[in-house]
Amino acid sequence: MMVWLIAGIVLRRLLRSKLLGITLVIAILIFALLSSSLLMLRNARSAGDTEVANQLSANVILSALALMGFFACLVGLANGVTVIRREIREGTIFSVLSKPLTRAEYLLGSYIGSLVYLSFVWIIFGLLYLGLVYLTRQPMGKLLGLILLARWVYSVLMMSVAFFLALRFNAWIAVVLSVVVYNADSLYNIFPPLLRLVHVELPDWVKGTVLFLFPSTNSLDVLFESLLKARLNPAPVQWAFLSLIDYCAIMVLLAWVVFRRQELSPSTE
Amino acid sequence: MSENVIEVRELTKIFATGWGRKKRVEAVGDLDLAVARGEIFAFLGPNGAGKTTTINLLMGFLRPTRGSIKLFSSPPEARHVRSRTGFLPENYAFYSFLNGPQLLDFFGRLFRIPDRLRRSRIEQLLGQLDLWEARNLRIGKYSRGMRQRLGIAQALLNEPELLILDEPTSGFDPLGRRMVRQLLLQLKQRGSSIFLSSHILSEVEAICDRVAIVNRGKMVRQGSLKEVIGSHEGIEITFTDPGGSVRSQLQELNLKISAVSEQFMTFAGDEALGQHVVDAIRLGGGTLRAYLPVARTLEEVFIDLVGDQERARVSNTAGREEQ
Ligand SMILES: Nc1ncnc2c1ncn2[C@@H]1O[C@H](COP(=O)(O)OP(=O)(O)O)[C@@H](O)[C@H]1O
Ligand SMILES: [Mg+2]
Repeated sequence: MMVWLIAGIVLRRLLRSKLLGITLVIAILIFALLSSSLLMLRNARSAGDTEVANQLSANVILSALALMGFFACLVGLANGVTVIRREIREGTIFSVLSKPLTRAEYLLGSYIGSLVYLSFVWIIFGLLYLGLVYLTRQPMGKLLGLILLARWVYSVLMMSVAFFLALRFNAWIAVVLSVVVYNADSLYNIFPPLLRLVHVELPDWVKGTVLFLFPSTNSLDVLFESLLKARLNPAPVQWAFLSLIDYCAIMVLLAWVVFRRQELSPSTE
Repeated sequence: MSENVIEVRELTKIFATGWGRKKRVEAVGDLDLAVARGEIFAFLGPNGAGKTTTINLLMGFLRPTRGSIKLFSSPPEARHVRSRTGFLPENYAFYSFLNGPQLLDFFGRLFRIPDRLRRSRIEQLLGQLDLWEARNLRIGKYSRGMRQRLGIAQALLNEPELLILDEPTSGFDPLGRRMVRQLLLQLKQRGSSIFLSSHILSEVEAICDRVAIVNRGKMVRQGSLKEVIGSHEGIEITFTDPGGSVRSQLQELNLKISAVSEQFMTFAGDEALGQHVVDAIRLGGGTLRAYLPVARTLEEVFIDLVGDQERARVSNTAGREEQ
């Protein structure tokens, strides 16, 4: 009950920001960016060149997803970092926390509010996505829906990581660390080859630990890219989703551990 | 069960700041406070004395370095404590995108006040605080005074048994101050306790039962208004000083002077000291024109006490530097 009240007020505050408007503009920009590909696609279709047409349509869908995912991650990052910090800085948090609600309720409410907001961003993007699927006549309907869902989960993951780190560190450090954590498994792939240059081989457990500690943000991408070419094998998709959602939950839990006993004073900002 | 709504023992708060958190600031040191049911307690001190820090500790926003805090015999975060407490922060800020009734409705829901009661109370409070006319105006467009009144309204929403206000009158015009005073007295009549901090003494003097004076995080004096003021009786004299030697005679008495001009002086002290002063004037060849014992204001007491402490501190540090 208290959680929903807080979530509602957080959502209302976020909706007053211009971010949704910007999302709409971004959606239109993405569409404009892909319009030449769409034209080429139509030409290829009318020329009867199915090979090229399929290639093009897959490209349009995947690049649209990449662009939308990138922007949504930025929104998630920004909201995750600011949602509670801003209330502390502006001082609105104090009159709220003096009411009979626990910090856990406040924290969860703020998180859910941001989550719903992020979902609004994805509703706009979802519509764009549906339009593109329709225009490119991509045949793999369900799978494409899954990819969209995966992108949404990625942006939620980014938001969750930022949400936790922003409580622990100052805003800019939190931003940088969030990006690092989010991309850890890609970044990690750079190190072994570099180390091999100086003849150092990392033991397996290092890789294991890194993959365990950081979210596997690449897994779904790699999976889907291969699936766009081959057939769908549902099991690993579910596992990859689950691991990402687990990661979000752990971030919220860690955020609570920090926030529970955090000292709140306007001058700490 | 104790009758004290606030009980603070040996409360100390040390902030670690700066690079590596090495610099330590003792914002509150060994503070003991007890606020009884139904009294208005003024927590006084100059800027930086540690009032806000104490209040943030009372509200559970900060954790004490040492010492204990009990509100209604429970820790500050306890749900029943929050339900019975109203709070106005020092630099209050409310969601600017809501209007007054919306904000109060939100807070009322957080207080779990039933729908009907909530609505009637909001209407009543907004009326009392002169905000009903502006009920459709977003808080972002409020004037400073309106915002302050809204702050008071949200603190009174749950008909609190304990009201904690951090510098409640600092943004008010005289009319607003009177309104706040009346509201506080009303609340007191219903048996609520009020804990308010201020650095402007004249505002709280009229309504408070007990005062605590803090400086640099330490308690300087605590007691009933009478105790604190009464112990610092003052005397006002008017005199002539034809030869100019009265002044030097008076200087030798080392008076605690709070107001002085060419032929007029107010100083702290009792009848005995007054007699010395009268003698000194005669000795200097002057005449006493008027002699008036005055009840000193809290303001003067405050300046005396805090001023004393500052002087002692300065001479202490000076002494240390010499060694
Ligand atoms: N979060 C903080 N970190 C470090 N020092 C602080 C913090 N909050 C307050 N202080 C210091 O504690 C002292 C008391 O401040 P405060 O409680 O705000 O005084 P008051 O409310 O009486 O004006 C000041 O010296 C202030 O600089
Ligand atoms: Mg203060």
